[in-house]
Amino acid sequence: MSDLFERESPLVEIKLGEAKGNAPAIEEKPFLGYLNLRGKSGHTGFQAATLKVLGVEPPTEANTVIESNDIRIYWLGPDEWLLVTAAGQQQAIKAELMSALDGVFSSVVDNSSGLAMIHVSGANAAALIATDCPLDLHPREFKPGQCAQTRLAKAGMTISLLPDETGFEIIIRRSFADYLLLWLQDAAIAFE
Amino acid sequence: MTQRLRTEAGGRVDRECEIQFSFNGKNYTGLKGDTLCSALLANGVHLIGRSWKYHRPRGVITAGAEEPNAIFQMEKGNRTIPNARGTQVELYDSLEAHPVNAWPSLDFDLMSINSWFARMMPAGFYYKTFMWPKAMWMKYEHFIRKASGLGVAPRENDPDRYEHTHQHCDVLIVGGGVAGLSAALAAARSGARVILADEQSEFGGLTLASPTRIDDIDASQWIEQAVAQLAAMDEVTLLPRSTVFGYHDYNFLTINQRLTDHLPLSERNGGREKVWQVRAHQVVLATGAAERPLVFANNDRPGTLLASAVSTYANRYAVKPGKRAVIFTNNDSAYQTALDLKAAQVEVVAVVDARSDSSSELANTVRSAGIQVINGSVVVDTSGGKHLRSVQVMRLSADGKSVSSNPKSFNCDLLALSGGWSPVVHLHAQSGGRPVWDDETAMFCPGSPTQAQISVGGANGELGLAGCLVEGTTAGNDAARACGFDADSKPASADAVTSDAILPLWNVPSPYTRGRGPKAFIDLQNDVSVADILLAVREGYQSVEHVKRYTAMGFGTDQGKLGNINGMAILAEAQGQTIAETGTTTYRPNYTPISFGAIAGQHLGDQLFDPVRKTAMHVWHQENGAEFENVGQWKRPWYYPKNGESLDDAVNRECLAVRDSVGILDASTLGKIEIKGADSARFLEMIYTNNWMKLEPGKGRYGFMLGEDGMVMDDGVTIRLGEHHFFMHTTTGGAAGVLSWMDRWLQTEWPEMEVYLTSVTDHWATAAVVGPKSRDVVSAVCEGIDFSAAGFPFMASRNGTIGDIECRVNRISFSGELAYEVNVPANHGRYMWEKLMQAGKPFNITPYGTETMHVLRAEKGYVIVGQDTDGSVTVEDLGLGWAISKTKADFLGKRSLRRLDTVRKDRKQLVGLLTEDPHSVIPEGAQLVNDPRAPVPMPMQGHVSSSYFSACCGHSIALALVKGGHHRMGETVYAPLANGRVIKATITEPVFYDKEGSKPDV
Amino acid sequence: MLLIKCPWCGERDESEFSYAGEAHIARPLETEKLSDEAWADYLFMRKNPKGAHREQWLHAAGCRRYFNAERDTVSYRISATYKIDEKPPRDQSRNQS
Repeated sequence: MSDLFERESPLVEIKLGEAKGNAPAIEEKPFLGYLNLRGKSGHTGFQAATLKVLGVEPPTEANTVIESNDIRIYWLGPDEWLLVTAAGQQQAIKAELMSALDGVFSSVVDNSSGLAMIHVSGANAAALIATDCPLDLHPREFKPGQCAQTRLAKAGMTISLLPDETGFEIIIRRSFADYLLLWLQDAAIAFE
Repeated sequence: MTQRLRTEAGGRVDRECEIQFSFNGKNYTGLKGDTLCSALLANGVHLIGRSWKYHRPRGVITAGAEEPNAIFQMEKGNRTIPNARGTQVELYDSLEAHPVNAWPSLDFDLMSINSWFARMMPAGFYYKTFMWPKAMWMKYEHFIRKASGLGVAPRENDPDRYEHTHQHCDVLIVGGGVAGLSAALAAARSGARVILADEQSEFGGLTLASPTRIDDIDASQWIEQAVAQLAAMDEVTLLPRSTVFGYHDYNFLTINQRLTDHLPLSERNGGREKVWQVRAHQVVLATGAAERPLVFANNDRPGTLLASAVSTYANRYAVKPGKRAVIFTNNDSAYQTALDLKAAQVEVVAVVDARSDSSSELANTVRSAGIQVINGSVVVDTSGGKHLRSVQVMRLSADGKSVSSNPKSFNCDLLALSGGWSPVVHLHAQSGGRPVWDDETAMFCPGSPTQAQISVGGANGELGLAGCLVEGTTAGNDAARACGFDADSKPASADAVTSDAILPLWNVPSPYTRGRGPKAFIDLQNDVSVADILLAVREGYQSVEHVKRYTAMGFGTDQGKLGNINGMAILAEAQGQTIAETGTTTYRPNYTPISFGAIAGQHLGDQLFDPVRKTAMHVWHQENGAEFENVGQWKRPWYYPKNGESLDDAVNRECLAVRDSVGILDASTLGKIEIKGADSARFLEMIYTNNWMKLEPGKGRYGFMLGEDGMVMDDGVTIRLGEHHFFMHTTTGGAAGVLSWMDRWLQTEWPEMEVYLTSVTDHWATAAVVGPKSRDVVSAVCEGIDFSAAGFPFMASRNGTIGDIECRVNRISFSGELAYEVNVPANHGRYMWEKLMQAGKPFNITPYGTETMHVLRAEKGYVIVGQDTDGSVTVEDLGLGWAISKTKADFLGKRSLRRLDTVRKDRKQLVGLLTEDPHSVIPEGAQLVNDPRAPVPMPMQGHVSSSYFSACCGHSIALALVKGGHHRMGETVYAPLANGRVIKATITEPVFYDKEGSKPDV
Repeated sequence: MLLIKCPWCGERDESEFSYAGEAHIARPLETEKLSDEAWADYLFMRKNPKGAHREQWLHAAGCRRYFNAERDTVSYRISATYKIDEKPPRDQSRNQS
């Protein structure tokens, strides 16, 4: 058991090397905290509690992402958000939210091991994802501050621009992570 | 061999760059810029293939996508491509082409004997002849397939990569002729996102083969400048060698881009083809027009080409398609071909024009060039063998319905035909538009668009250069404006040309008695002649779609691009209808054939065809020799063979280990849903058949979900974690469906309920530790939990830790043994697993897979939804009526349980089966009968849903769904198998092991 | 391939959606009081019209909301989409730019 690690990322099997040729760089951002938050955005109790803990109310505009208190808050639905926190912060934030939301119709669920984050960056980042994503990723259409749940090949993902606009951040489900990374690596051959 | 039929000068071929290639085993030389067909013609090769049915000699007839004859088997082995159109194959070094449809050889084709018997093989011949006697069809079919097949599909794996991309644009322009280029320039200058796709290697379309001027410069120079301008713009994507092959709903178009087919095999790196899936706001169709041939006796001899193709070969490819030419036309455009041939130093014997008069500027230019024009006449027959030798010309009567005698014969080796032009309306029609017949121009033109789309230039029936430039520019401006851009480009200018009207001439009057003369072909690839259409009409076929299917007109690799309009017009004539009344057959995708590789793209192989979902312990399973089974998209360990064990041996060992000591199963794939909110219990009352209100926190309950039809949909254990908080388990395969099902009720029917659902299937890794020693193992690993029988009873849930890691342990059993399911966040899944393995070492803890899990649960008669149920099974059918609340007023599916069909006594019900021979294992899916000697068809009694050898019981066990089975205990049924064997079995209760159920309660 | 306007997310490719059958079929409140015929009508009987059809869709790969669409079963044109708690548009015109 000497080589036994207490934790492993979903991409333990995948080797992410240096990008070749004009292929985009693919990086994993492991062990972040992911909380699924649900509640009624118009409800004063919900507003007050989220404002207190997150510093902002979760975005009500569809398909947008905001950042506050080092937490990125993605709109997933009219009563559903994804909070991405720094590694290890999720338990404390979850506890704070649950206590602030006590008695308010809401749900805070830890999904930190259920998701994985990938950064795809470089000149061909959009083209790489477009190999099988039906969303229009052109800069005229997909802008900073936007996010979207869509599909990549035959699995779902949540996509947004990297803050420096050099590429995309994609959040995928753990069990599909292997498949999607193999997909991206295979697609990247076209740009090598 | 020399290229003896090259013109002296001109053309878009590179005379400095010779290319070696082979056809039919012979070596030839061509030039860079050639197509396979232009290179063959340059070498004087006219005989290219044999026709499908009569095996008549055939040669190149077109210079484009509509080519029916010049199709080739390209290359050999894993790179072979069947039925490539040589008119569109760019010549590359060492290209190797073979004829298709010739046996045993092209020059000596045994099957051409069919030609002698042609009169005996009319339309529907195969249908009529070979369907009787019925039993012989299989033999006939074998022979016909060998005799008639076109190309041969590759037998080896395709070595090439194929790519896909999804793109969006403001304006997609299909076709890069001058109309398309004008549209692209106008749209692109406004800043719109533009994609311009053209099937050829260079943009310019037919104008590349035409000695005209645009904006007072050579047209080819103007094209070059236009392409350069477009290429310099950021938002413009130029796609040469790209065929738009499908136009679907909501301006979704598919483009196949050929990336390497023009390169020598040795230089082909990277993807071979790329399919663009484009969603366009506006579409401009500038697909041009295609010339029609004329229909008369023996109009299929090699050396017979479309007039426009002759011009293309002469002007663009610097090839003389013959030495002595006759031109046969019913319109003005072929007169240009006469001039083009003269310029290429080909002798033009005559222009035979069906019109009694031709006096346009162009016609007069031809006359003044010293070329004989014979008005009011038609070509009625030809002679020659593998190459055209002469044509027979007769005078056409004033009413155009008959010809006078005294044919004049002209020796020639080239016959250029022009029967008028047909706009390429395929994509317009695919988009939902209906082509409209125009009598004046004798064309099917695009009708009203049903999508954001417009046709311009030749595709819109505009055959003049100046008109194409104007229509293209206007459409480009309009399309960009519709997308919100300011667009105001002016069209380039070209001289307007006036021409005389066409004389529609579908079936050239014949001097022969009807039905006696040589065949006049309409569809060259399928050997459909005028006589076949007339026969179909005589036999009562009316709809053009039926005539198509009876005669095969428009089938094959060219899909009737060349001959269909002629065929429909001849059908209309025979039916005494107008062409508009007869109409066209349906234009369907794909415009030209697409390779399977292009369709599949990256979606191939074990890794990428379908998602492979893995658990957090997957690597451990691999490292420990697991064989995997697909469960939905998941890979689950199936069994863990040791020292070369068979499946049976491994499963027997795993089963005994679990029953005797302890085993461990990766149960992470079960669906997991968190349910929160004040109405959670009330919600579950509706979702499940049993009661949930009074379940105390920390306890779980097994439940069935029904569809509204009362049939079992899913099952699983749901645990109450708090007053308003539940944790649901679903089946592995049902997880996504159950979440959508529950969401649907919450969103659409019960929005007032305060319930939130969150899927956490991927967050938790789950190890089921199962067997009499399981308590020893989990208690050594999980801290902070009282594992005593009293402190942690069956169906209870407890939270604890493994070191710093939170864990939840549920005492659930799917095996009838003492068992615990340990859950941790999946990032720690492997750690948990290894800790449990380590703690289990003293008990020889045995990892087991889905097969052992299935045997263990079947020994206890536990059902698997989806294996022992199939959407037509109720809870009562399973003998589990106790799971249905008798007190609840309502739950999903409840009302259906009283339906007449649901309460039938002879429904298939779950029973156990014990085979007479304890070692016989009935195959799953086997049908059961009462009497195996009953006459066929035997009355079916049911089927076997689960069947295994049980090492613990020492005999085989099976679960089956048998009609009225609950009341047939002790009766005998038989399973007759496909191999003739019959297995005899007795119906029993479906519990085979520990019938008292005492084992988990230790 | 349809382009479907999710009332929340806007126009998205058909491949993000799943079909959920005819819309506006309310579950009867007191199911136990229904005759077999009335229950079967709720359970099985669907309109299947040629022309305008109101149906439910799920933005399965997107926001996971169910919504309603009015779609022409001949032309496949979707004349309107609307949220579950919204009324269908009165205007039945099938015009679609």
